[in-house]
Amino acid sequence: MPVVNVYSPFSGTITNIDSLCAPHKACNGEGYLIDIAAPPGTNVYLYTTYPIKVYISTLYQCCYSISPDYYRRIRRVDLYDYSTNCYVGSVFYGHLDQAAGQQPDGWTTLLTSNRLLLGKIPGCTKCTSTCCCGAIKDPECCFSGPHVHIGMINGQRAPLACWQTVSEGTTLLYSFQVYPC
Amino acid sequence: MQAGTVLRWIIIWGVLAVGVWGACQPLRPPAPSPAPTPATPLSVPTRPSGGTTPTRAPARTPSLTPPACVFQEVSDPENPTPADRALLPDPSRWRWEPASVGGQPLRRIRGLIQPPLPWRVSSGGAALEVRLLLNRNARAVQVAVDLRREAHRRLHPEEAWDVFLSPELIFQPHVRGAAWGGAAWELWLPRAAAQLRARQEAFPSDRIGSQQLRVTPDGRVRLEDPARGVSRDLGAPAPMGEALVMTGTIVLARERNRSMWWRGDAATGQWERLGEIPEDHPGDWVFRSWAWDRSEWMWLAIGGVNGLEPAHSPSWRIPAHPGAPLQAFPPLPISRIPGDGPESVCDLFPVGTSGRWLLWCRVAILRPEGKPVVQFGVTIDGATGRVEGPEDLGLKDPLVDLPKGGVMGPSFYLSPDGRWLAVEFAEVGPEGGWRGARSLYLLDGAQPGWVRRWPGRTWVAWDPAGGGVALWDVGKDQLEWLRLPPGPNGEPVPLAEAATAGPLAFLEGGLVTLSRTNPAALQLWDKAGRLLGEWDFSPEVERIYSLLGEGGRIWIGAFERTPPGEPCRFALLEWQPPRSSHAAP
Repeated sequence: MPVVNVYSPFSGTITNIDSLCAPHKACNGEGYLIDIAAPPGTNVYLYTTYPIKVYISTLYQCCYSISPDYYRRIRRVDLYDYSTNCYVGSVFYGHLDQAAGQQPDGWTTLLTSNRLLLGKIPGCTKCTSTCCCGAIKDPECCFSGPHVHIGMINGQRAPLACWQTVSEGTTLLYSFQVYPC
Repeated sequence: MQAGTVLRWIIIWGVLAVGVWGACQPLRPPAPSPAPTPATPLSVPTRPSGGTTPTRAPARTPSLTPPACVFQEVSDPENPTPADRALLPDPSRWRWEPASVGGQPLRRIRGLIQPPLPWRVSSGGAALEVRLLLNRNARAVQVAVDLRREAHRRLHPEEAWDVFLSPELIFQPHVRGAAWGGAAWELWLPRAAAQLRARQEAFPSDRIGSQQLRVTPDGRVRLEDPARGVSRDLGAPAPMGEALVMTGTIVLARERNRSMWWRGDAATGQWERLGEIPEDHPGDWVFRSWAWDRSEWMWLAIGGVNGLEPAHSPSWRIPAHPGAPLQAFPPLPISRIPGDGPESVCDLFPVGTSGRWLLWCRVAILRPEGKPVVQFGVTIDGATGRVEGPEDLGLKDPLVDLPKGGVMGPSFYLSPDGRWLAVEFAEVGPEGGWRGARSLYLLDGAQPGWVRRWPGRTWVAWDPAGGGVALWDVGKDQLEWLRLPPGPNGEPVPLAEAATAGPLAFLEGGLVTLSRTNPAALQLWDKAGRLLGEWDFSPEVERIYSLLGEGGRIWIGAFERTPPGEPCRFALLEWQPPRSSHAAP
């Protein structure tokens, strides 16, 4: 059975896996959560097995922030088998600021490359002593420093660990079995 | 086969049939909302055609079987469907109804679609803030329940949702979930932090007695009492931009448009030039806090705004005593850990009168010679600005090397009165995460060197009134109570009949737990850990998931009895145990 792999979107440090290293909540029903920290401005890429068809959509369901909205912004990537068009799984990248030249929403096919630019890691703005969100409704916080929140549907997570360093495009995060449809 | 089981099978097979049908359709753009379908036991996001049906990842903690009803979720409060709108809560229609349990009167609000979690008593006892869980994505709204009349209302009706609330607090164990993400973190730790913050803020730093400290537009520092017609210039040696009262008659002021700080004494009119404290580096988080006796002001900088890096700025200690110099500490090798939250707390508090400070949030201690030490909270020696390790506190447990990076340090829990510090060392699982308790230490911030250790325990909750601390013996799966201050041979008392998978509350003179054998029965314990009685709420509700105590009253969140497979309904109960049962011994 073919497999689609998704690799680390940049080089950084894992600061949470589910709630193993700290309390952690999903943004919108995604599972197998991973937080990866890296400096603000770092480009965030989809790295995956290719050729593959993907559908990218932008959601606003992470965090409390209203303005600026990038703490809430999720780029959702739905993966489809290139030859059969069968749905394979989805990966969510949360708290993404917009990057110049990023892939717009919609369908695209990766034929000769294994990566797509999805956005960049936001910096902290309007920080209080406890939080870095643009707008705060509560003393609680959802973004305590530059990182990307990643989750997925329909696949398996690689054996990762709190505080593991990951390498851009090479550390395996998720695997998806491709089934006939 | 029960009707509920049949219904579930129908739903599951229906979902599979739709999935197979969908797999054979041509590709099309995804539906706009990926939210789970409401009111189904199995969440199935609506997606493009698929060979396999996308399903939600499995729950991360073992489930305590909740009642077999169906939670009707408001799947996307920000973009509600007509079906969602029909489910949105309208507290203005809630009504208290009288009831009784075991001959004791109580009152209740019944038939709620969303589970209420009693959060805190507010408005001087006139209202109860409850949090209503809207969906399994942890979205919740805040409601003020009127405790005197029936004017119940949403606190932020203009918002689609207000706060995060873990569904696990309703649907899964939560005394037992004392580790990351459990009730200890989501309920008890923020409550202790809020009490500590309130204690810090109780001291007015803008007045001396009845006189208000004020900086005039031209930079003079004045004490004013308009009611008595008193106004006095303190003779500041330079135009000031800000000023605050440190303690007694001691005033701290910063020069206008400069980073030069001065300390003055309103009683003598004497001023001392302390020195410059440069602007905070934008890459640092900065925390300022007072010693409980207001004898000093601590100004701590740590890194982390721009990622995992140490502080760029020095930290500062400003004593409130005339003649004592401003102290600068080298930049701390600490970074706040970037990640999601909600982070429970991030604060700076003194630990009793020990001269030690607790920086309270998830931090990495960065070491040039090795991997970072990651832990929840870190103590700083207030005299030297040195980051302390466990050995500095008299703690013997070694740090744990994580398999793929980092070293796991302990977690710190400061009591609401700022005196007691619980320090917890965890076992580590293969993923480098928390895996049960290794040991729990208790330090007394009022007695240097006073340390106790209990193996296999975790911290669960401080009594907000300062009477003690609840612990969990992981190996025995037993809740325990330790009265504070402990006696010479004080050991935790087992609360043997208490459920470790249930909620916990404190009230004057004792504490309340859920029964091990009956999820609708409450037990009252006195502060010596003696069981005073048990009250069965089964005639009213099926299972109690939440408790809040205040004074002599208890508020209860519970599942009502509903047939399996039917929509869940929830109740909020207010109960006052008989006085004789919870008098302090």
